[in-house]
Formats: sequence, C-alpha cells, structure tokens
Amino acid sequence: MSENTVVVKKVISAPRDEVFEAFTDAEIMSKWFFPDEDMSAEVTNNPVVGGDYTLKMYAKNGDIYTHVGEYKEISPPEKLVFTWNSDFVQNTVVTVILEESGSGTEVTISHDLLPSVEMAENHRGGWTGCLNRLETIFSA
Amino acid sequence: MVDYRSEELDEIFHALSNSTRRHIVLELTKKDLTVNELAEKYDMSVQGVSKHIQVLVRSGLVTQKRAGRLKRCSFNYETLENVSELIQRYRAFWEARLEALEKYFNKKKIKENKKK
Repeated sequence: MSENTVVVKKVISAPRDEVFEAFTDAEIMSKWFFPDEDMSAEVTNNPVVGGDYTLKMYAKNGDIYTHVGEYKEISPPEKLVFTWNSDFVQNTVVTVILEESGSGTEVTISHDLLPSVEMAENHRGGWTGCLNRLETIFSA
Repeated sequence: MVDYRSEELDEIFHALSNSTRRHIVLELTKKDLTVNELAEKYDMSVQGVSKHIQVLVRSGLVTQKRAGRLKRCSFNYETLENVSELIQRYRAFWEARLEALEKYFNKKKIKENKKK
C-alpha cells in the first residue's frame, strides 16, 4: 500500500455472504454501482479468477463511463481483488475486504492508484523487464 | 470533473514508483537543489541523478531553471495537486458507492418485511 492508495470503510447492515454477492453478482451490482441517483449502470462479468468485468455507467446527459478490469482474487465471502481501468486511470487495483462486525459487515475498499506493474507486464509485454533494466542503469 | 489525460497520470505515477525519485521529490519540497547537490546527497553519479530528474521533469513534478552554469531543480506543487485531486475524487466515489450499497440493502429489507 502506498500514499497513492485510497482506503474507505463502512459497516453495512447485511450478512457477509450477501455483501459479497452484491459485489460480484452483475444484476445486483447494476443496482448500486453508479455515482449519482439519476445515473444507471450496466454490468457484465465473469466472476472467476482471470475473468473480466465491464461496468458501464450511464449519465443523464448521455455520457457513458466505461470501466473494465480483470478479477485477480475471489475468496468468498471475505476478499475480492480486481483491476480497474477507466478514462482516468489504467492498470490500478481495487481490493475489497469483508469482515464480520456484529450482525453486519465491515467493508474496506482499497484502491491503489499506482499502475500495477504486474498488469503492465501482461498487457505491454516485458515492461517489467525494461523497468528492472532501467534500475540497473541507474544504480551502476 | 477534472479533465485528466491518463498518459499524464501514467507519467506521474511512473515517476513516483521509484523510491530514489520519491526521495528526490521529498528533498526538493524542502529546497531547490542542483543535480550535483542531489548526486552528493545520494552518493550517485551526476548522470544517474540526471536520468531520475529527466523522468521527474517529464512527469511535471519537477521543473529545472538555469542559474548561471548550473541548473536548479524545483518541485512543482501544481502537478501533485492534480494527483491529490484524483485521490480525493476516488475517495468520494468509493464512499458514495458504499452509501449506495447500504441503501440497496435497506430497500431490500423493506421489501422483505412487506412480504412477511
């Protein structure tokens, strides 16, 4: 975790497995995963490790904000890790941790806004190698 | 909404992904330094420091001004403000998501109670 990580927490009054479902079931996600009341969302996903998701947020003025990513870890009902790509950030990683808290669930979302080197490696091929070489040049 | 060019952000985050460059940035927030002064501080070659500075200049985090024969490096606060705005924006985004999630469960409970 770095200073470029956004961390938000909240206790939701619902059991952990239901909260986990709300984060992974496309139909449920489309009911809450958008920024404003007058927006709507459409979600398609394949919630398995290595599976993709597409999250489209529709604004009233017709603007569409598309978010895509890949599931890195799916451990119901406690942990979910996926990559997050939008018009603003690429190759970032979102981690969702669910912990039991009384009769509810404490949700912790960590969004590391530093581009993930691992993703960059997958997508740009050899980028990590380049960075390592760069390090050697600098430390020489 | 702030208009970010994602390539610019990539440059900024790439620049900050290296610990030496983060240290350089930290030093420059205290006072302007020349490449030579930075090289002495980190016991690095001037060439090595120059390369780090080039990455930082490209990202907009550092600016260079010629002062006689030497180039002074200074920290550019404006660039980091863009990053902190992005962080703020995402914080607000996720906080709002969790509130929406709570509302979803509240509505669900009301519906379930009506069924009973």
